[in-house]
Amino acid sequence: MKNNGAIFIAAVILSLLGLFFVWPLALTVKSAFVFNRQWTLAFFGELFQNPLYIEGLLNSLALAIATTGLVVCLALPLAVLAARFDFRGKTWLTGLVLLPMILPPFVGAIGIRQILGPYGVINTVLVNLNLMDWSHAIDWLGRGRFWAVAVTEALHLYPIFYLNAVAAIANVDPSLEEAAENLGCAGWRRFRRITLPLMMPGLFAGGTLVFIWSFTELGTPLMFDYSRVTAVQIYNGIQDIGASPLPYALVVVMLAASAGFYALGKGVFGRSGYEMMAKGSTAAGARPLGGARAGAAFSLFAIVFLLAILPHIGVILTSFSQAWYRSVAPSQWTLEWYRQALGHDLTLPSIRNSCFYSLMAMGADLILGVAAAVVIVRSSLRWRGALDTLIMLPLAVPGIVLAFGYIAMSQPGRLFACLNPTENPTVLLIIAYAIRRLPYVVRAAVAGLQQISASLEEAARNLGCPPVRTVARITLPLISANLMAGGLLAFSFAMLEVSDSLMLAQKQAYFPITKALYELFQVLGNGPYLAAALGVWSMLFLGITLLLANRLLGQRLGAVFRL
Amino acid sequence: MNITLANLTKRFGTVTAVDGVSLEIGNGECFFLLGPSGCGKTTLLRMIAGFCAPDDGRILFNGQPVNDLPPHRRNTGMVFQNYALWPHLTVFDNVAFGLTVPGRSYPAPERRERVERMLATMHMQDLAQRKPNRLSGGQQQRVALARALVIDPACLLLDEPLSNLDAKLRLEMRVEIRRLVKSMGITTIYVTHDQKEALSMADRCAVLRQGRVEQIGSPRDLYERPANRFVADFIGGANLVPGKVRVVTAGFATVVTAFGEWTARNLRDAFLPDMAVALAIRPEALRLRAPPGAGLNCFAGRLTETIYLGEATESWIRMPDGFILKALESGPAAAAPGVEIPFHVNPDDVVMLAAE
Repeated sequence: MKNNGAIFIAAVILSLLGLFFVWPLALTVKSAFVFNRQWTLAFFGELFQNPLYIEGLLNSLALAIATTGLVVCLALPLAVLAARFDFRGKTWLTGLVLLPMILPPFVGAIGIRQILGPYGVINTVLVNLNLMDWSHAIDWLGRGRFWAVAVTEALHLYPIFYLNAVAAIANVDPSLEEAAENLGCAGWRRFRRITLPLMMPGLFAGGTLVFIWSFTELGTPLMFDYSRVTAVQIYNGIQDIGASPLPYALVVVMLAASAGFYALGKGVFGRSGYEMMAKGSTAAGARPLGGARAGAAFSLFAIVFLLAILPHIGVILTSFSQAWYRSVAPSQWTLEWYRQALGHDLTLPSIRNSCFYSLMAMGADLILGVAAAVVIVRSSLRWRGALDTLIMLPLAVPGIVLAFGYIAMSQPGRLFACLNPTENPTVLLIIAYAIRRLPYVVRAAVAGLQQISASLEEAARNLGCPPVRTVARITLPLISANLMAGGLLAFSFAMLEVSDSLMLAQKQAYFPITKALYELFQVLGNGPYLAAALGVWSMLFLGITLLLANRLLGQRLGAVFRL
Repeated sequence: MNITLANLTKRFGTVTAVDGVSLEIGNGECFFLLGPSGCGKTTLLRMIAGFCAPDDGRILFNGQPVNDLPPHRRNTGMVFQNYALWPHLTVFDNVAFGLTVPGRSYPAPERRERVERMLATMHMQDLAQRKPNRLSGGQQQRVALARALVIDPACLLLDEPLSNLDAKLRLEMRVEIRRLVKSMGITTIYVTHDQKEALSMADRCAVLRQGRVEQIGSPRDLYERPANRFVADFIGGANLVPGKVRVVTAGFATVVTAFGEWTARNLRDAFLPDMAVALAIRPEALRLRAPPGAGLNCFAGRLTETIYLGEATESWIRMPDGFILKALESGPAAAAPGVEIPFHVNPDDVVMLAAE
């Protein structure tokens, strides 16, 4: 590719990232350190002397550790089974375990509350078995709801780790395992000594992603009223963003912590990536399991899947229930909530808003993503590696931090005051969604471009086809599956964005689905039921898009979620 | 179209891939770029096609410089090593592609007719609606060739086009490609590392090593009058025996080696007595039997190894000083290993080269 074109594309992408990624973050950091044109550490001092904030940070950390631990326990055995063994039903079970990604965990909170709450399903079962009576009902949500938050997040996030782990195992050349077996090292020992060390970088990549995600998660703690975590404290802080720089300092601490975890996961633990001499050959693929072992593998998948969809089942049941209280299943069924939701001024507009924001963000991501991927893969620009890294950075920056940066940069008197979300958050929401999901589209497009030989494009040039036309006639059709998958992911994750949506959408007319869900949930009376109905709709919608993406990308879906 | 390369140079980082190459390729000529992998022959071809820009030197088509012309405006037809057939298009659409681009878009009926004619030439008309992944290697090769030729290019560029075919098909395609390009009278540049391909197909051939041209000449020139040790060894393989010139006579010279005195052809009058030289002797030039009566270039050595090759047998002969000469003879081995064996070489088959 000609360098002039590449430089132009790179310049456009770099300036967009500079304006809407680097600038808001830099402004946030600056505001935390500079007050009245003076350098100061006073806000950090104030922060670290306030026991509330310390407790928030410690709780966030504990949540991240607990969630990541649960995720590893859930997903690692599944990944090993899926990558190395064959058994009946594997094809659709491996697809099913990805299903929990289709709902933001904070919607699942509605279901979890119905199941684990003091008047929920578990206690009903126990009472019916005469093991308990209602006067001594246990609140399974746990003291302060800590474990409810951790479990809900883990049940949502384990597919990300699972995809990473499967890809990591698939990347291990089977002949290396065969070599170990040939030398007399088999079974569990072989896994521990050969397979596990080789897949470690992949596991750390997935683990880091889950860790940072749960460390900065806003929606789930909010739904459980678990307010002593940093993310919720930041959310509550945006009200007095104009008055006090303290929220800025809090955001900077969260950003620094996330960056630290990222560096730790990537640099220290994940560094020792091994270059495989040969790519995994298909000859020694999955080993068939028979009889009891196949049954055990099947059950393990089924159990995890059932656990993971429990909150979602809870949501679905709630949406159809007249009342659900001290019973295993709702005692009376109704379609009333769906009917009311149709007429409610929070639901349909929010679906329309979300679709619009997400489509626009997806379109922007596809255009920018293809352009960026062409520069990264096909150009000879010296700093194209740096461009790649910068584009991927939004993955490492928590959504809540970026959203805070957007609010900060659109404060009255600042550069982007015209975009202030209190008036109309449309532009900022689209930008936020697009920047956050650009890495997925770029990775998908890069993977596609790397798979098609450059000579396919050269052949078209050779026969007289000009460059841009070559992209349209040869390149795009050949990577269309990747682009569709990347686009679908960008779209569905934009629909699921919680922290950006909660923070940026401040006027009801512009609420996206997630914000509407949260607002509905807080409405007394029929609120939670309407929220459940809205949740079921988005669940259906996103389930279909994700299944499509999985179809299109197959095993490569994992590549999209790797750091 | 004739093609001129003037002092062409291309560097990748610190590596000089093509180093001051100058060539003249005549209209309608079938010209080969031959050399081991990494010698710069593919880079040279890609510079002619316009896929990489030379750091120095000029490329002229019919005397017009084309350095600044992008690939899509050069009107060359290229066949890629991996064929580069577009998997999302049928055979027909692959071939028709070059007739649908700006400046060369034909009305549909004419396009169809040209594509069908070209496919018929390639015996591919029955497979026009297939996708490339349902074709055999040889069929893909034909489609790639058809796609490059259908646009009536000013020259045809072939990048190791036969390297992915099996041996038998390769032999057939050699004849077919040569016949095709000769009947069309198209200027052809063909890149290969296979000296047999070059010898059997080329009008002329340039042997490249580390980005430089070692020799340009007809296949016969290259084989019978190699310019230096590299060419002698790369084309056909040769025993290279070090020695020193004793006497130079018209057309011949006497050379002293560690195991006796040889009479060799003196092709270039550059050799003077006492000069260090290397004698290049093709393995098939060694006759493993004593000549009738005493003659020139008669020697004897111990047979150490016989290697059965099917149509021929290779014999390793260890000379008294330890030097091993390789001989190639049709038919079974002349003797069992360990036996002292006489042999002789016709002085016409001994080429004298600079020692380097």
